[in-house]
Amino acid sequence: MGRVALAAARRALGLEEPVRRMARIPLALAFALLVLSTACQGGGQGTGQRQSSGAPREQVVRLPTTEPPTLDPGLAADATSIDVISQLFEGLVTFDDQGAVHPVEAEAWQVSDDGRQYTFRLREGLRWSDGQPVTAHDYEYAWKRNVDPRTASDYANALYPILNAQRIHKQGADPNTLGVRAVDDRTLVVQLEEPAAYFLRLASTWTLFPLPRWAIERGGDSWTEAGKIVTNGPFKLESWRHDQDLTLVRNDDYWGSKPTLVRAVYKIFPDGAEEQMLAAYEAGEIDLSTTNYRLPPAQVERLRNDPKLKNELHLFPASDTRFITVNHRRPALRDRRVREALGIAIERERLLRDVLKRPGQPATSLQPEGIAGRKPELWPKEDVQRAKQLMAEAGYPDGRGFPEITFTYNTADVWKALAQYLQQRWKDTLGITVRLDNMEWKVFLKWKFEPGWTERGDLYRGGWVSDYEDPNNWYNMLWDSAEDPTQFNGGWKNDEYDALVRRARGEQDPAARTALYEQAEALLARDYIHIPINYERYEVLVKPYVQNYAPPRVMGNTPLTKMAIATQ
Amino acid sequence: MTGYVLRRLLLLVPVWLAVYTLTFVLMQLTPGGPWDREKPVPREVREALDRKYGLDKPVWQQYTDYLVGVVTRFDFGPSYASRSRTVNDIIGDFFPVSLSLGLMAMAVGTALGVTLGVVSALRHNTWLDHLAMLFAIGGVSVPAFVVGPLLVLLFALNLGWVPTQGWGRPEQAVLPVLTLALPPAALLARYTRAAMLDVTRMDYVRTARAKGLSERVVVLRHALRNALIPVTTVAGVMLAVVITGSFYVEYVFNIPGLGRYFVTAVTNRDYPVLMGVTLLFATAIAVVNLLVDLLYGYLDPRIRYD
Repeated sequence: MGRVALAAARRALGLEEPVRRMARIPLALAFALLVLSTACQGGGQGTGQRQSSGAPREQVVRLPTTEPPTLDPGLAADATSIDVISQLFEGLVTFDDQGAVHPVEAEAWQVSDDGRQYTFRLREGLRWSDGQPVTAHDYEYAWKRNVDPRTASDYANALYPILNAQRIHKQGADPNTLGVRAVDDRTLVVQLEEPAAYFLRLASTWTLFPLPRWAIERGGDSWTEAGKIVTNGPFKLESWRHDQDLTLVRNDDYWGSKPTLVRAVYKIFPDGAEEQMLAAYEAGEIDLSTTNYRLPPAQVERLRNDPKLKNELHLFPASDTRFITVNHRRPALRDRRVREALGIAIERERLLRDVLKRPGQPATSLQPEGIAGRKPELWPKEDVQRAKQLMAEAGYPDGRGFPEITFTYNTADVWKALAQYLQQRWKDTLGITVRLDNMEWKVFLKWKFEPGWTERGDLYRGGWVSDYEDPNNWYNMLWDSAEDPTQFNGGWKNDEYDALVRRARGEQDPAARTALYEQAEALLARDYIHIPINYERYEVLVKPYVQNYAPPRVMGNTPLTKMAIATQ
Repeated sequence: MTGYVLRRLLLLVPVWLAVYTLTFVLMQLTPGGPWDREKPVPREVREALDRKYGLDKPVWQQYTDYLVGVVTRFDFGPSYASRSRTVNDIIGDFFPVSLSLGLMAMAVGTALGVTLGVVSALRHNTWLDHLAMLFAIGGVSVPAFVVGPLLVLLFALNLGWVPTQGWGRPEQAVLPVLTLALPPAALLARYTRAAMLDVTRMDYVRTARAKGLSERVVVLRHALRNALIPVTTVAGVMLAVVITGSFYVEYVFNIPGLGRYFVTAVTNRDYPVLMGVTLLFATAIAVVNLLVDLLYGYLDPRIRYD
């Protein structure tokens, strides 16, 4: 009992993937009974609430979330906060899943020939929720504030392409020297340090949204509380009872097309409480499960087979790849043949279906769909025979002479399942021995990004979710050798690759830029730098009366502005 | 009496200091920090965050700064995880929830436990006694994380009588209060039964019966009052446990209580929240113990505090 209680308590801590807040936390024993009993009841007929819920009468949607750490666009760094912020605030431009840019508060913009100056023209009639006009000055203020080290913004580096941003953030230069200036109320001029073809992508992210200076100066750190917050998006914050619920109400003064939904009530659940979230969904207390929740693996089977619920289960692609990071500083792993052998010996289809029970798709390459330059066909395919042959060529026939290697992961059921699968699979096919090492979440994170980790670990579980759907967010930020060891590079260094992606970053011509990234991709594939596992997909439960729920690939924010309720 | 209470309250000061120091040392020793996130935080950002929250100062200064803040301004610091709020805000929001949940559970648990205990003692070795003791064994041995979801399954999902989760409306309190009340009820039933069996064999109870007092008076005024002394000790401990240890019930039923928040703060390495809540819980336990000691004097006039 002691161990069970301990395990349950540990699960209750929500130790898996807190960033996306999707920890799988079965209340193992009791909820297993729940599965059985509801299954026996044929989907649970006769529950008062479920029967009475049917289609609602109002344009109100109820959805689950965890407590947002902040509603300040300048400070937000996690999916939960960003989901709510994206309903409350908006910026200059936005992108769709086809990669096309659309104007939001900027009605037009110009880029100088050298690619270093952007001039944005704001729409007329933009208003903050307190009636003040939204002006270019609010953008200038926001960017200078967010890059100021005293603000301590997690995403301050989103502003780095702007002139002097790094000097301000790293060396404490005056924030007023930042290369952004409101020429008048409707004209914003931005000077870049060097050409950055992805700057519009950055301009679509939350860190570059405008901010209401007066509200921040009046409210201090608590300016984002209900009653104090001033916003410029299609919804307004009506109430925020911390760790309980957060209610958004339609902004009837919004300049653009107004949402159909009148209200969105976010019910706040503890970290990792998908079992409770699912129970609330089945009892009709919430209308969808959103992309911030992963359905409990112990229940996925039941949901997929339930005659009613299987129709409410939807899959959406995500800009997110899970992989195994390889430490290139370990002699045995420096050999490309070894890395490739490890990678192509895995049966991903089976791993996902039977072991991880995740809705993802097998991945052969590192970059997910939607990232320009990506060429999965260049990457080696799964092939056990070839894997064995590669190991033999590398000097380890049937694993003889290969050192024991370690796979490190953060303590969570799903990664444990992955680790055990890999251990068994590599033993059976390649004859090598893998030691498993798990760590508490924060310990793992510290270990993973500490300069010294590369001297200790061999393989560890990794993954990346796009902040914005541009190759820069992958090829440059993750695999450029300058990002080692604090990113996912793993000690791999290839001068040709570095030169290609650095040139591509500033390339103004889209076709030429993609071509450069394609060359870089070929190098990644040739060196097989890390081991891809799967592209993630969102698996979301949506009640039949909820219409137009289609989350974007990047971030998967709830599209509240497009959604509607089919009322009775 | 007043002197005794004052002495006990003064004793809290070294207790606080010890708890503060121990917690501080443990936090320093725990690997991983508040800025270790899934997406690596650039060094400059970490440094900026450290500066903002004073984590760049020497350890001894962090130790004294926080202490000074608490003593002079009653300021338990900012929360790292919830950036618009301070620890004072968080305790102010969530402690009342845990407190009322705990008090409700304790009221239900005491009423149920003492009643069951008295009934089993009076009907010693009958089926009623056995049934009550079966409940008592079940109540102590089946943990909240089994009872809670089972109650949800039965009363919320299958019968649909109450919501599965949430806080604020009376119907939302039913299941969590019941779940939380079961262990104290079970424990108190056992203690009350044992104490009642002892007491009812005493001479003064026989005398009371011989005087011709009604059974009600004998049981309530003579037997139960004395039997309650050991029971009070247990109830005091249980009260502290129920108020400070309700995290699992708060988690299962999605109740915005301090226990649940405390556990999240551990995962987030939210040091000021950890410290503030630890000090608060230490105080709560000390205060409950003091109240229990004072209650002894009321129950047994022979116990005096001079």
